[in-house]
Parts: sequence; C-alpha cells; structure tokens
Amino acid sequence: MRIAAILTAIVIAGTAIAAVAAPPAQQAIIDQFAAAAKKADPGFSGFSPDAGKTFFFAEQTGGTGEASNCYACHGKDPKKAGETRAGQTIDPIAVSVNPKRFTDMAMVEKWFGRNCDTVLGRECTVVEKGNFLTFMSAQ
Amino acid sequence: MGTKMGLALAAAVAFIVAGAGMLAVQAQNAPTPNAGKDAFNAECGACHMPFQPEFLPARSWQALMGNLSKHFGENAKLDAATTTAITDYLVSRAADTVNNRQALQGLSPQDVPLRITETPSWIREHRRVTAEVVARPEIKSKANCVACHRRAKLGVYED
Ligand code: HEC
Ligand code: HEC
Ligand code: HEC
Repeated sequence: MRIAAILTAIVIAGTAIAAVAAPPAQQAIIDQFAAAAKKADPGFSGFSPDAGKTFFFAEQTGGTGEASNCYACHGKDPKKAGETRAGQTIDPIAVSVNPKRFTDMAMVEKWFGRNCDTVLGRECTVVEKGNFLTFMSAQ
Repeated sequence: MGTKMGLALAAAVAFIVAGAGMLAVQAQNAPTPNAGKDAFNAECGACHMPFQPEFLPARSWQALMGNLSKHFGENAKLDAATTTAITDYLVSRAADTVNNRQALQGLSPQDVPLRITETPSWIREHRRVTAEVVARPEIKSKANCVACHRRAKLGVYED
C-alpha cells in the first residue's frame, strides 16, 4: 500500500518534470542562459514558455530590417517549415519535429544576434532568449 | 639493442612525433584552400542558394561582404575570420578575376552592382520573364534562381 503510494508519487513527479523540461541537449543550452539570467538578477526564478510564445507572435517595432516579427520567416506553425524572403525553405523551428534545433550555442547566438537586430533593432535580452528556447523546445 | 642506439631511436621517434604535432597544429591554423568555399556554401546558403561568384565583379563582393549587417533588409553578419575567408574565396572566383565577359557586359568599372539580378547581363537574359511569373508563390523572388533553374546550385542555367 505504502509502496504503491510512493510509486504513484514518483510517476506523477516524473511526468511533471517531463512536461516542463526540454530534451537534454536543448536543456544544456537553456541552462547556460539561465545561469546568465541568475547572475544578472538574483531574483530570477526560471524561464516562461508562455512569454516565449507571446514573444514569437509579437509585432515588434524598431527593427533594422524588413520583417517585424519572428514568424515572418519561421511561419505561424513552428512545427511546419518556414520560408526566407528569397523563397528558400527553413526547416521547422520546433524541437519535437526537428531535434537538431538549439544544440549548438554558436549557431543559436549567431541567429539571435542577426534576427533580433532585424526584427527589434537591438540584441534580445537573456530572458527573451531563454523564454523563446523554452517554448520552442516544448513544441 | 644497445642503450645508445635505443636512446637515439627514442630521440628520433620523439622528434618525429613532435614534428607531426607541429604539422598538425599548422594544418589547424592555416586556412585550407577550401575553407572559404565551405564557409561560403554553409553561411551564404542559409537564406538563399550560394550564388556563383562568377556572376559579380570582385568590387561587388567586397562591398557586399563589407556590409553584412545591412543585407537587403536583413542582418547577415558573420565573425571577422569567416568574413575574410569568404571574401577571399569570392574575389578569387569573381567575374573580373576569371574574365567572365558575359556577366561583365554593359558594366562600367565604376558600377558596383550589389545584385546579380540588377546587372545588364542578367536583365537581358531574363527580358522575357514577367513580374507576374516572378510573383508566383513558388518563385517569390528574382533571386530564387533554383525555382526556375533546377540545377542552379551546380552552376547549370541552360534549361
Ligand atoms: C528574415 C527571416 C527570419 C526572421 C524574421 C527570423 N528568423 Fe530566425 N532564422 C532564420 C533563418 C534563415 C535561420 C537559419 C536557418 C535554419 O536554421 O534552418 C534562423 C535560425 C534561428 C535560430 C537558430 C536555430 C538553431 O537551430 O539553433 C534561432 C534561435 C532563431 N532563428 C530565432 C529567431 C527569433 C527569436 C526571431 C524573432 C525575433 C527570428 N528568429 C526571426 C530566419 C529568420
Ligand atoms: C539572413 C539571411 C541571409 C544570409 C545569411 C545571406 N543573405 Fe544574401 N540575401 C538575403 C536576402 C533576404 C536577399 C534579398 C533577396 C531578394 O531580394 O529576394 C539577399 C540577396 C543577396 C544577393 C543579391 C541577389 C540578387 O538579387 O541578385 C547577393 C549577391 C547575396 N545575397 C549574397 C550573399 C552572400 C555572399 C552571403 C554570405 C556572406 C549572403 N548573401 C548571406 C538574405 C541573406
Ligand atoms: C522566374 C524564373 C527565373 C528565375 C527566378 C531566374 N531565372 Fe535565369 N532564366 C530564366 C529564363 C526563362 C531564362 C531564359 C532561358 C532561355 O531563353 O533559354 C533564363 C536564363 C538565364 C541564364 C542564361 C542561360 C544561358 O543559356 O546562357 C542565366 C545565366 C541565368 N538565367 C541565371 C539566373 C540566376 C543566377 C538567377 C538567380 C539570381 C536566375 N537566373 C533566376 C528564368 C529564371
């Protein structure tokens, strides 16, 4: 009886963790952003996938380029392919259908550096980046 | 085997190993001939096909590579080392370097076209291609060479 209760508790805890955590490779990248966020703000309590979703769909101002939101190229459905302005296919940005996403920090930072400037005219903050990655890693 | 000879042998082996190590380090630091080409294909192929360098003169590639953070309405910036490697590759194969007369036709030395699709040669070759055709969703842009030329990435345009 007690063992059953403990087992149930473990299973519940296990599914709860599975529901929020990204796959290990993506989580390792997210953890690096989390460490930077904590360093900048000791009160930082974790990234928000909901804020990441809002960010992805937000209409931005101040960009240096033609696109004013992230889905202009990545598409409104992150699980489907996107398209560049020159008509070339972009592989889906959602991790569930494209497990290679967000596994190389240099690649992640290169594209945040470019796309945030194009769309917002500035660097994205560590929290914006972490929220975005947390959202897409759960998609 | 005498100790002396053994020592000599050991020294020789150590020398060879150290030499090989130095060579390996050199090979890592020195840019391989293909480094610029590989970087060009990977980096410049991320948003559109990597256009053949033979379509634009060296001065055009230098101008494009010098302003990657303002690239046709997008930021396409790269680190300095990659930028230099790609520029060197593009210049080494540029229209004026390889004397591609077709691409240079109608360009004066002061012209610095930033687009292949703005060169007199490209415009003449595409005079029968209408704006309506280009606007089709599966084409979208004049710069989408592969939409009309299936083998464009191989440099084949006669089809
Ligand atoms: C103008 C088109 C465009 C816009 C707008 C755009 N992206 Fe991208 N993004 C790309 C392309 C192209 C790639 C690289 C191609 C690929 O990975 O398949 C990319 C890659 C990325 C990557 C790296 C993915 C990885 O595998 O590591 C991230 C992160 C990213 N984008 C985030 C964003 C965010 C956040 C926004 C909005 C602020 C945004 N992008 C807006 C075109 C765009
Ligand atoms: C972030 C995406 C992106 C990257 C990376 C990128 N480009 Fe572009 N490039 C564009 C866009 C967008 C256009 C304009 C396409 C259009 O008008 O349809 C363009 C156009 C061009 C054109 C003119 C095409 C024409 O109309 O003749 C050239 C040449 C060019 N790029 C070279 C490069 C080179 C060289 C690199 C690598 C250093 C590079 N691009 C990397 C997005 C990119
Ligand atoms: C909308 C379709 C379309 C697009 C996009 C397009 N082309 Fe073409 N291209 C054509 C057509 C049609 C011809 C003429 C073929 C003919 O008359 O035999 C042509 C001819 C050419 C030729 C001459 C071929 C020869 O036989 O000498 C070259 C070179 C060429 N295109 C390069 C390009 C490049 C480079 C791009 C991208 C920057 C491009 N084209 C984009 C349709 C297109």
